[in-house]
Amino acid sequence: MVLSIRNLTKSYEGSRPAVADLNLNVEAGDIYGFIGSNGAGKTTTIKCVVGIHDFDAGEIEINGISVREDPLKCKADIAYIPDNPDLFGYLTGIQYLNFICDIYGISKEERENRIAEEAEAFEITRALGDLISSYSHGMRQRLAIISALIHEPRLIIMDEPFVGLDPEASLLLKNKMRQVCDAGGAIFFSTHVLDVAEKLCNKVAIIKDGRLIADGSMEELTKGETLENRFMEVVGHVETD
Amino acid sequence: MWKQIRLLTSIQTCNIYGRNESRYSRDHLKRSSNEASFLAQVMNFVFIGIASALIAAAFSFSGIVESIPVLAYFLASVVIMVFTIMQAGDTLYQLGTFELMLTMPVRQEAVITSRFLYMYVTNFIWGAVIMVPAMIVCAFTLKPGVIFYMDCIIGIIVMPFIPMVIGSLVGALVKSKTARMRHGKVISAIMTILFVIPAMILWMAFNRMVGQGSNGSIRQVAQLIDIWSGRLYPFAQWFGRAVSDGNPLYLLPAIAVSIGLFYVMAQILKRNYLKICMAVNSKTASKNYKLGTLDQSSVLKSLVAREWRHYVSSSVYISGTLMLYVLTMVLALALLFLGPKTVEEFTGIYAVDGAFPFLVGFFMSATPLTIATFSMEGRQWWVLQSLPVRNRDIINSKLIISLMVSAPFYAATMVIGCLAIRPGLIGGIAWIILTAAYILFNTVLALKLNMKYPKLDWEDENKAMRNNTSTMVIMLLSLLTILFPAVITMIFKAYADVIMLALAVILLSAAAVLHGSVIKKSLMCIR
Repeated sequence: MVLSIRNLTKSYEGSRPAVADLNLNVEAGDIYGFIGSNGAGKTTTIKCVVGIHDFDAGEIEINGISVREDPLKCKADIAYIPDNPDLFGYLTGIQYLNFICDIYGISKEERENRIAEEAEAFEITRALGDLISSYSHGMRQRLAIISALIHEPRLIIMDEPFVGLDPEASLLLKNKMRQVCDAGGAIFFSTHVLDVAEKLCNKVAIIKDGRLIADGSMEELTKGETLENRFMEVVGHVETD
Repeated sequence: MWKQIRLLTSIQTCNIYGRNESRYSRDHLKRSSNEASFLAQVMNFVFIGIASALIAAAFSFSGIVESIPVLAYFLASVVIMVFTIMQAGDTLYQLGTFELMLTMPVRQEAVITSRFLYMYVTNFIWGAVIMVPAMIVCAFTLKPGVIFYMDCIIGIIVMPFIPMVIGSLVGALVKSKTARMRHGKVISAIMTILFVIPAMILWMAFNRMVGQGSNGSIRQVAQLIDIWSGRLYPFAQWFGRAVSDGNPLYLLPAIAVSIGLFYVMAQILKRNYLKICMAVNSKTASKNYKLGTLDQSSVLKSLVAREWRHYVSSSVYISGTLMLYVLTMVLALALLFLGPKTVEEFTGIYAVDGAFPFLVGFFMSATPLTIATFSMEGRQWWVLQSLPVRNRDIINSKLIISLMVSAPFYAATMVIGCLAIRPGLIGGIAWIILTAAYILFNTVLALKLNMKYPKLDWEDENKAMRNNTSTMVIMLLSLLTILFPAVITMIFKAYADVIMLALAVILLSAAAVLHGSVIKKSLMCIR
């Protein structure tokens, strides 16, 4: 199991639980879509997994290691791409990537090869010498994706990864996601774009008001219907013609 | 149009000093941090108001009450102009929300006017804090009629417009020129320091002359104000005449010029607003990078390098922390070239040679970089939180960079100070160790305080640096930890070296204990 979430509960001070008793498993090779309406608890769950938020109850394990007991080991195996990547605007793109490589202990030769390869693929090589604060949203997203791929993580966690990406970069990211999974890794990502989830994911979980209301393989969940219809059905907004 | 202006202005002013966030935030930590910042701001106003009243009282006792309105008007105008220059980029010419507004059926004039009015509200508060106490003292002495109060109210309302218009235009010019420079932020910080330090020294000299209390010296100050305000800013003199002669007609030039200048600025902005906003917020992007060889560093070294780049990327961060370091060096240089007696006379600091290590200790430890180190991370804090980095490394990198920046100023100040005062071998060693201990202790303490009261959700870095609870707390604590031992050392002069060394040992031990506790603390609490 690459990612295992058991009975996760997280509340913010003075409000009802943002996530309650959530269970979810991501296996090697999975492209796991995490879908739900705004405020359903997707980002909170993701932030608990990547170690930005602490949680009240439950357990999160990455490759069998508890994120509470050994957060550094867990973080070393994952990569996180937020929906609106506020990166260090005062660094140039190359300084940022070099910094990330230092953190993950990537050797000089390896980093040079990987940065060259990924930057070329995502077409930002010429902008790497510029400050990140001068980048457009799409450029920042590309840089965040490169920095996530650079240490070859076993699990990539993404929050709305396709927002702000142009069609070319979007296609490139989808191919990268498949490559990571083919190499034995896994992807866990939240999205509102149900068409993308339907085409890309082999597993899906639907969250509503902090609770998981449906999960499983795409075939099991959709049962021949479109994901959009199934989603509307389970969240209680059935469309009547 | 008026409805749009009212709506846009109220949207901005409802969160003045973070009031709206405090009111509606459910996050207890965020709310208490906001409340503490607000309290610090109120205390700031109270101190300034008291200082203004005291200076006015000194003028009043010297029988030159007619100079009070001129001085108050002049000072308030200068303060507002400086604030406007500093604020203009983040308030009047802020591009992000302007682009958002452009997508809505809102007139550009409404956006500009509402932003100007928001700046007016904040500047009006500053102006009132300086002017109202001074005018109250003036009223007590003169026992004037109703027209005096009417003139005062009109004067205080009108006063911010002229310095705001000048400040907005100068701010746009400075920001647009430095925005595209490679080291624009550093240049901007140096310019601020070069402007503020002489102003602080002049202010000190002015206070000293007023504080001496002799009619002669205060009259000299009054004469200087009359001459300079007459040459540089006649509106202050006209306000003085309106108030003392009870003739509101003297306010007409200020009102007319305010309206005229505002009209000119509105016309300039109407035609060029987007261009100015883009110039102020522009960034250089050459897009000609070629991949070469890359260096590999240890995690700590890489974190320290990142901290350094973060530091030099913010003129507010640089000027906010370096100001006192530079002032300490100026003090040491003054001791060397002018001698302790002259410095004592000028600053009014008693026994400046004996108090030197405590003065250096206070000035060099009151604003360490760690005071806002987490706050300055802002919305980018998630990057460090999600990386596999030990808390210890993040905290140590922040401490190292803070000490690295203070080290050259500390070393230079101590060398110059020791050469100027010549405290002897043991005395010199005691001074060097004590001041270093103060710097170390306060650097760790400031970091702990900023961990407790971080302010990550900001658009304008001034809010992270200046409206910071940890800044106020560390200033007060520094004063307490330095004042008490300084007095004891003065009383037991014969044992001064021993007391200083003992104090240094206590401070270093406390710093070590504090460091041990902060590196164990989870950084997830910072949000």
